[in-house]
Amino acid sequence: MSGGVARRGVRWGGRQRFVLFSLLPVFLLLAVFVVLPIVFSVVVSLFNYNPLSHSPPFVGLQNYRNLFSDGVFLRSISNTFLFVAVSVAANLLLATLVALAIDLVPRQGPKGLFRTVFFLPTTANIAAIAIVWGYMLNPRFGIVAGLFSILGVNLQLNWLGDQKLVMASIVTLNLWQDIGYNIIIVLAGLESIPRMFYESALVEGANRVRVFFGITLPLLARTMLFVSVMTIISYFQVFTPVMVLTRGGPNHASELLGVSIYLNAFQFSRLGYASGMAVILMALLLVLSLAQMKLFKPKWDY
Amino acid sequence: MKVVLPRIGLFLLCISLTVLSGCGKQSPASAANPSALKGSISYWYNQDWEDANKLLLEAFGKAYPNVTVNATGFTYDTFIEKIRAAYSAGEESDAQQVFGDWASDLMKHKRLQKVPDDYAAQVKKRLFDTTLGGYTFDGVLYGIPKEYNIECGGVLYYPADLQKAGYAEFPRTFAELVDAAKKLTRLDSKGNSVHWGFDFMSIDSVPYLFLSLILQQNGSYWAADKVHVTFTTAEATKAMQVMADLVLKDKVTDVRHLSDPNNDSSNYFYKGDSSMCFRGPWVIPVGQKDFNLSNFSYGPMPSFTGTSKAFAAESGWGEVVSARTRSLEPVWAFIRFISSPQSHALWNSVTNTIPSEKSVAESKEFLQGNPMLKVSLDVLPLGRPIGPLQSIDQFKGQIVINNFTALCTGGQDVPATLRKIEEETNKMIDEMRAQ
Repeated sequence: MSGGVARRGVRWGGRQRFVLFSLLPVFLLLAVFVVLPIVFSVVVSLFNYNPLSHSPPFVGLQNYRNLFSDGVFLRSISNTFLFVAVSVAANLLLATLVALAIDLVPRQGPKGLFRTVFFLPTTANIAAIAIVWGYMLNPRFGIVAGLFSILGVNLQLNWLGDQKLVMASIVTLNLWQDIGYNIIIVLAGLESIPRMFYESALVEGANRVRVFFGITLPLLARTMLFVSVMTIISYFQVFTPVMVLTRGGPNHASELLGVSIYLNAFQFSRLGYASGMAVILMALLLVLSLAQMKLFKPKWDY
Repeated sequence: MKVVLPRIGLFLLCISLTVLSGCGKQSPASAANPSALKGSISYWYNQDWEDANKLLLEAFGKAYPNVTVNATGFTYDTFIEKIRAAYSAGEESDAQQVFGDWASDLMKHKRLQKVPDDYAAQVKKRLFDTTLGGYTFDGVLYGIPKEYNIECGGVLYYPADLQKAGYAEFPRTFAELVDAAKKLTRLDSKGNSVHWGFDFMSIDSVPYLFLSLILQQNGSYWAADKVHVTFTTAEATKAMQVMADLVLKDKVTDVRHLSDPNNDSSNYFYKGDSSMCFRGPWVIPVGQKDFNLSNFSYGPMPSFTGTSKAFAAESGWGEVVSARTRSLEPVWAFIRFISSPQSHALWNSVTNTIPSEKSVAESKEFLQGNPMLKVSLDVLPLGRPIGPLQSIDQFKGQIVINNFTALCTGGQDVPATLRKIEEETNKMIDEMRAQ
């Protein structure tokens, strides 16, 4: 008996060591490239840190106190929430609608073509796309103003230079570039729903709307949760299109948190302050992701 | 072509002079025999000035055949980040070509080597005081400026446009300038401008116009402690009101392209979107080379008060040496060589920048090779050092531009704009001084 326990113990210990050994590289990578930078960022946020300084002064929580009384930072937070709320809602809605439409296409050939067409913008370089969009949206010589002009509408809107329009312009660009990912994922989710549920619903006489809300949407819950968590996290970190098109202007109207962090850290040598912003962004993302996973956890599976 | 030919001649002359005169002779040890000096140094420079830097590097290679210079160019946007990261990690090059505003941070944190006393004394006599400000900390010189960074004093313009507005010559008074600008501005039926008469919407032009309008009223933007700024003065109020009027009342320009990071106001000018554009002379080659234009000119910006043409200026590009360099003799021989009057003449000529070197600025040859720079050269003695703003980039790009945009888009009035600029600038100064 005791020998058997010992054998099991030795076997389990060996397996444990094997598991630990196998995971060690991953843990090391996480420690070096994720945990350490986070810890370093938290530490730096407690200093008035300039990378050139030999002894940056310790300021405790002063950076955080300053942040919450900094109008630009508060504006960048509200800009970011607005951007994420509008972009994520539009992205999920449009991605679902397009995926549903593609799913209805009966033949694989055209289905694949649509899938490719919608995914294509995501393969392009975002910086290059942003530059092209910048020219397209130019109120004086851009193609958008030209199109309106052809239609007989004198609409010289300053899409990127007007505080009221700039956010809408960046949301549109971001959606155009990014929506392909979610379409593919939602489409995969749709295709994985067993057809027998739909056949049963049809036998029971359910209409399309009923089928969508009664079967499709609930069975897509896991996919939608994944898509929404990933989209929210990535949209909180949007940086490139804003940097290329406006650098946060005009008058901070398009300054998102990622841009604010960059500008403070690398343009204005306020690395401690920028680290404080990054810590707040990380905390926000953590809370939001946990809340999402708790609130929208699917209650059933198939 | 008219412009290019004399320049090529000047380059050849400069190179010949440089090589023949042996610029390295200023270095005590290498004076007698430059070829006896041996070593290897690393040097980082601004890639925008690639042509000029390469000419200097080639000339140095000929004069000092046994000193190897490992030179690397960086684009403007990435250069400052590279420098900060490298100094922080102890991986910087022996010498760098930096912008004056960047040098202040490096000097404050003791990252640079001071210019040897004998050479500093010589340089102080040769160069304009205004250009030395950005390379001086606690009275000690840490770098050799190559250019006089002047954003004021001149206006790009199309003579043909001005003639249509009834001006055979460039306007001589501020009132005439505004009058011409109003005549040249075109609005559509909805009041949107489709052509700007006088454009000053760039990250450099707005702050520098603002400061120059204050200085031309004999005002000052420095508080009594000479550390903080004050923008709630009568002069600052008048200056800001004039600028707001140009946008809101006279409508000779607008802020639509101010947040466009991909097109400078001069690019809009060269595309024909404006008739006059307030910009530093360093954009002239862009029009000549990139846009292949020869139908524009550069006129003197009239005095706002009619009596003074004073303006604020910062130190432009210059050469610094890392405090950690181990190649002292070769690196200083190199800096002395590329900062000699002959090298400066060559560099300024190729880059179309305003010389920091008095003798170059005053030379007829330089003016003949760069006729459009006359406007800027004429006002050089009127330049005032911008002062210890700690981060001129943040002052210009973040504080002034954003508040001015808010003013022009109805977000705030003139007093609120000035109050915010003052508060935000002083907060920045305090924070950076504490670092």
